[in-house]
Amino acid sequence: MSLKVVIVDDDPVIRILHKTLVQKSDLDQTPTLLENGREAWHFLKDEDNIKGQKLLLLLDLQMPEINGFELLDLMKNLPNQTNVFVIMLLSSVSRADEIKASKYTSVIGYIEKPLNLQTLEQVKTLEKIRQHF
Amino acid sequence: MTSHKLTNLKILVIEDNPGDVVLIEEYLAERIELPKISHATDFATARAHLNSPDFPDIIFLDLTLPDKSGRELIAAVVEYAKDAPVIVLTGYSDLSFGVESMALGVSDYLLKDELTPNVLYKSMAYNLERKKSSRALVESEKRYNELFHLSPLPMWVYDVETLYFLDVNNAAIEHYGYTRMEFLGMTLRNIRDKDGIEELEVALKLPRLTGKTMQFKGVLRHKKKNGELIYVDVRANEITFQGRRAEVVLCNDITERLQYIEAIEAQNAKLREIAWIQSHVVRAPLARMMALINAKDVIEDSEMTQEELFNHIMNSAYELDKIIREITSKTDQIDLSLKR
Repeated sequence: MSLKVVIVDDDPVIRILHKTLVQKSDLDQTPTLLENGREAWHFLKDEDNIKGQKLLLLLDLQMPEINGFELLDLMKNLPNQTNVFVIMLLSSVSRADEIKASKYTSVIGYIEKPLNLQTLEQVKTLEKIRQHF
Repeated sequence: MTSHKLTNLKILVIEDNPGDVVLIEEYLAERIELPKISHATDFATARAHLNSPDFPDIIFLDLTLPDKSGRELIAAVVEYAKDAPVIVLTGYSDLSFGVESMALGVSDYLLKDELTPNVLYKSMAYNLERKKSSRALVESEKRYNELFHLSPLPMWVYDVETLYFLDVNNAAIEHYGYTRMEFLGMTLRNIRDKDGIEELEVALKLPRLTGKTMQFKGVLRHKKKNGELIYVDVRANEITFQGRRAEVVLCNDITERLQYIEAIEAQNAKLREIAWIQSHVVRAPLARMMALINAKDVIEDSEMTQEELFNHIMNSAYELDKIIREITSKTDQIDLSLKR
């Protein structure tokens, strides 16, 4: 199975930067860019997007309309959850956010912004991601 | 033997019988070193003596003088005598009256026919000492009385059974606005607010442990005469007052202090809010700046030119600046120097 990276962030600059980083790190040469939780939910609801591949969501927490945690709540209703992994991207890490994130089985980690190449290299070593490299 | 205490005594003998005077003076001289004996044969002279700076330490008084006698004489002499003990000299004929005279403020009475130097000496020594003790007691009572009445914090005593005020100090009168007379006609119910009264009744019904004084302390709401409600820190102790079960109470008005604490807690809530904002909102543009600066090496010109990169960095800086200004203005809203 191939790995698809989905970048969900309301900041356009961040979307461009993260796309470049994901490409440069060889995680995915064509990551999907989504603006907010609502778009992400529509994307995930569409079976075609999930079928036959693993999804790695780089998910921003602070977003308008549907924020990161709210999306995770919605995702519990997805049939193909085992194929979707989430790494949360936080502006600042607080204990409360950490604890909350750990309650979702799909969350495999969290990163304090900004993202950089070293961090993405570390992501490649994560158990669920490793097998693709 | 002469006692140290009875040297240089100033003695006034008020006696009109010259024979008796000589006898007394002789006896006094026998037992006392350096006595300064003055003599008055009538009340007028005696009074002059008692008004002069040459005030005696002790007075011997005969019951019949040419210008005054009996009860009237005793009352007058006792008044002028002030702190000096008055020892009455009586004959058998007015012995019973001699006994009565003690009630009028006379310290002792001696039978003239049974006077000896020792009898005189013993009576003087004893009565001088007694006067000293009773004076000390009066002063001590006065001091304790002042402790209560002049205490800078409101204090009162109330009857535990009836809840009536039994005594109240000046600070309480000033603070609560009631006069002393008004206070003495009131019960605790008049100064407690409604909820406090029920609590009080319940607490008072609890059986008291004997042999142990109970102490009450807590914060209550009281009502002043003008209707103003205040919070008071109350301390009370069980006492017996004029034979009744009572409590002495001290009240410290802490209304202002509690308001201050409330204001500080409101401040803290605001500060917590600011701290939260700092960590999340502030960091967002900062994280973006860091990302942009990191990106300069990896980003292609087709995605973003150098110029665009720098513009984005600048914009993030402006955003950060704006957020910091907002925080500063929020902080200004908090009045950190509360006027006391």
